[in-house]
Amino acid sequence: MYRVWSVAHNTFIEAIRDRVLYSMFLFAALMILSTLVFASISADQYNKIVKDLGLTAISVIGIMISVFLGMGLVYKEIEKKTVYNIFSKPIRRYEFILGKYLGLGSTLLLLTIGMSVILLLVVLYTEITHGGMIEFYYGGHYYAQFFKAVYFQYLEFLVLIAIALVFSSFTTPIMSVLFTFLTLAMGKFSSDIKLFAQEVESPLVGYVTDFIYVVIPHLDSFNVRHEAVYGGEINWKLIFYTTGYAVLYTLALLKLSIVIFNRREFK
Amino acid sequence: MMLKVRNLIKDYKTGFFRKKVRVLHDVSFSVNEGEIYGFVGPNGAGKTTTFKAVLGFCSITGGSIEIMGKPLGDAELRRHIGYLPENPYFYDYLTGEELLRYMGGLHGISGGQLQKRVEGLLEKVGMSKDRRVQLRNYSKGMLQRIGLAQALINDGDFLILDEPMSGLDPIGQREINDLILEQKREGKTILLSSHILYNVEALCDRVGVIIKGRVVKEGELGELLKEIQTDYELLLDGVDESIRERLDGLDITLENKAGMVALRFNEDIKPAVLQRVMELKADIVSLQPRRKSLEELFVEETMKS
Repeated sequence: MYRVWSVAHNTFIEAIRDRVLYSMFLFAALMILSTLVFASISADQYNKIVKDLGLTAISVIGIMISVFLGMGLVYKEIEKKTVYNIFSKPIRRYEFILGKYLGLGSTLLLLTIGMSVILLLVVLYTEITHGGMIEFYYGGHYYAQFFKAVYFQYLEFLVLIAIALVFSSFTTPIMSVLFTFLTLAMGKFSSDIKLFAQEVESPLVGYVTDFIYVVIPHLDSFNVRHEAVYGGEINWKLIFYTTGYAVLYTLALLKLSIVIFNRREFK
Repeated sequence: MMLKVRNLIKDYKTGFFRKKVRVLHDVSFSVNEGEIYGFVGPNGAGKTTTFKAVLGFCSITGGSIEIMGKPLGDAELRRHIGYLPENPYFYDYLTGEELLRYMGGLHGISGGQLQKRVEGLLEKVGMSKDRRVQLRNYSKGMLQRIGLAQALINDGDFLILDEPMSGLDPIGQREINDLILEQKREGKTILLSSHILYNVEALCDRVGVIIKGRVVKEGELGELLKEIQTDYELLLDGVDESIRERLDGLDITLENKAGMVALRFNEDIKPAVLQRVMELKADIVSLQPRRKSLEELFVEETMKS
């Protein structure tokens, strides 16, 4: 376990010493702050605008960081031949994959917390300046919805890192980005694919579409921004099932990465 | 025996049509405990591929590899191995100290034990002063030294060093040489490859010459050199180059050396040459066997192949 922790720690250090990460975080902070401008011209909808746009900013930047840091997670180690140093030590390949995943997962956790804190401060600021914190006094429910949305968002990042890791373990970073974004796009429209499968007349196309629906990640299940902003329900049952789905899907992807990586030769 | 490689074959598949290319044909050699074994050969001969196979970085097509009597594939065996890759690239965002901590962590070493080892190794390779400098700012010599330190982090019994002197200036080479000899004195077994043959000659107990994926010579360095140690040099004073005519019929080469004449000849004709020179009443300054270097052996074997 200490070996997994060592790889995770190094992956985390690598990410937080990467200037690209800081640029992206800065960009996210600016996007979140810019919601204040939209809030100022939206009359009584200010808090909804801030939260909606702010959560969207967290989602977009988080996805970009997951994909761009995830794309070279394994490939870079092979290309730069650092694998020779790693695998001359008594570490197993699965430990390396797990360490890489946990390292990037921790980086995303830190970033998600950072972006959420900025958004929360912006939300509080708009409420104080506009409504004297009226909504704040509604208590837990309002903020619980916010945190639930952020939690769902983080689950999506975790699944995305695992997808990027699978591609990174057998292809180049450019192809990895391409494949990950393709999977992301399909995942975002997974409910539409299900609908299409139900309505299509040809049984063959129906089976194929059904298969695609089962295999692709249902990333749209992680989007509860509408519920968080406009007061929909995000109950514990939904949280439980979505978490379970994210965990199982991630475990399957990690297993796939390990199988692929085990077969790789370091030339 | 520390390492036994028998009839090792390695094929790679390359290109779109996955064409099979054989890079190791029939490599056999063994490394005894406590010795320094030098693996020499021209570029592309298969030295690094052999090391990669030994460390399990790639699968093998045929043959067998045993480390400490155990077959390859046991990750736990690597607890006893230290490895320095050729032209090592390390994580340039880490400092020297962080790299050693990371590499120690991969061996499962932690806490006070890791701290102690890191401190000791930084001291040993003379990097204590630069321990907090990021590796991107290290010179080639510093990288090589920190590379050697990471290979020693587990205090393993078996060191595999791929071109440890590569790119170093003479002082850097001397430092690495001394570190390697120190490891031998501590009882470690060392397998190293190098292009710098006089270093191999100075360090190694036994040598294997690999050319085009085949080990063409293997044995104790002294024995291997003795096999081709047949030349003698006779230094004469009071004669000039016209002596060649008087030694007609003998296969000698002649050279002017600091106002004297140096005759070089094969061991077989030594008595005949000496007899002729005595007859000429030439002043013999010295008679020395000309010990061929590993470089000459290496060139000879490469030309043969």
